[in-house]
Amino acid sequence: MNCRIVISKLSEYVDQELGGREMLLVRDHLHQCPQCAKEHAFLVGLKQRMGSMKLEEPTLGFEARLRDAVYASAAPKSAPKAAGLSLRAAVVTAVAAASLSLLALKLMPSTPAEPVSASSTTADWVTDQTSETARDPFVGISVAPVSHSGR
Amino acid sequence: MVARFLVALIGLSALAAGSHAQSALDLLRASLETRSSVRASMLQSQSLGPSSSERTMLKVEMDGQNRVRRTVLQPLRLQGQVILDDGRTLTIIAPDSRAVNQLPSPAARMTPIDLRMELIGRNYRVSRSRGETIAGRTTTLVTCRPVNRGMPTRRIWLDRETLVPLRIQSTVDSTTTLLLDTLSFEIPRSMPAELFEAQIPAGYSVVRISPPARVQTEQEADARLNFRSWIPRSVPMGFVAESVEVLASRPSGLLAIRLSDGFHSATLYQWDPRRLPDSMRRLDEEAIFSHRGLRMALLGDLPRSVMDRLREFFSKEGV
Repeated sequence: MNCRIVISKLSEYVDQELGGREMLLVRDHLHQCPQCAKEHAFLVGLKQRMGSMKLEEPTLGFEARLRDAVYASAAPKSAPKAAGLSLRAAVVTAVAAASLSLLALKLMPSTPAEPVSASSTTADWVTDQTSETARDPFVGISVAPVSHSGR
Repeated sequence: MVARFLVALIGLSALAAGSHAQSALDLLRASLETRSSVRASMLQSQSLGPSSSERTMLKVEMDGQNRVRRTVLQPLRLQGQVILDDGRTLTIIAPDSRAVNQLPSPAARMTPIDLRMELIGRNYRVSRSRGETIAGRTTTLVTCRPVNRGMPTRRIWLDRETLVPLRIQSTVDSTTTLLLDTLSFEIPRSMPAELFEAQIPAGYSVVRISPPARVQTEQEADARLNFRSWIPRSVPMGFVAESVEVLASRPSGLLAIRLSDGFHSATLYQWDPRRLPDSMRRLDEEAIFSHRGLRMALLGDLPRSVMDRLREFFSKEGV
């Protein structure tokens, strides 16, 4: 694998998206090539700095207010359909735009991290079933989904 | 003379087949017994669920002291999730939702190995043969053919040195599903301890899942529930009620009866028909049935035809 290919795959490598053989080839190249290793170190540093930025939590009831606002803004307009945009698409577009705004909020530097909030609950059937299959090494399934119950 | 020779030959073949099957079972037992003491770092592709065609790529690290760290590499929607199992607690860290789930380790609730081997020996014809090289490792293939019609055949490729399963296939009605495959396998000299410690980042919300309470009898279960439970005395197709757990006590009340045939498992959930527990709310109505004044659901990693047969058995009380 040459430098050009390695550089083009570096972002995927840092994000651990490369498959086994490709990942091993990039890793071997990075051990041998100081220039690519430097580029790799820069990308890792950038990812770490981005990751350490504090996320802004929306205020209580934000989701409900956002939904209401989206429906309120979409409801009176009969034009979108004529313009080829259904109500559903308008809502999706608005929610996507709002999500992007939230993402921008999340990336903004802010105050120190808040304490961890904790709650207890019983397993829902999805978590219970995944936990059941995970207890068996001969099943070959082990990823348990994160339950949002109790949150 | 010829007849005597043939009888002797048949006898020898039967003996050989018997010892071969025995050693294949021993191999499975040894794999279960030694898995917590193996140190390894692997890239594995796994099925995301018994009925899912989606696959996930994981980095699996085992420290040889009963601790396992799994990092999800693919698919993108789960990427970055870390699943840590220290033998007591399973911690799932999801960076995208800034959430952490902690639940009792599945390793602490494994079916006792003796019971497991007894069930496998009773319900499957087990044989071993030389397997192909997987991720540069020499393997032994253990093939488990079901005695009961309709159950899947399971093929397990075990690493010859460590006995870690490197590939698992399930075949039913000529359809083969690759449940697990290994793309790379390394035995590192040492592994950093902090890799296996659950460090929860600041600002993450933590949800702790209460451990289920194991019970032995219906009376013991009823003391914790708001309804009269029913534990089936026998189950068809080689299954047994391996354990009974109260997942939620009063006021909601949810009982889980764990069924196993040695390889496959299913859970029979029971609850009061007047009160649907929160934990069953997202379940498809079609999966729910009634019997003995109880609401029930049967879920598990079994072929649909087997699930239908078991569901019919439970709904008609074929005891």
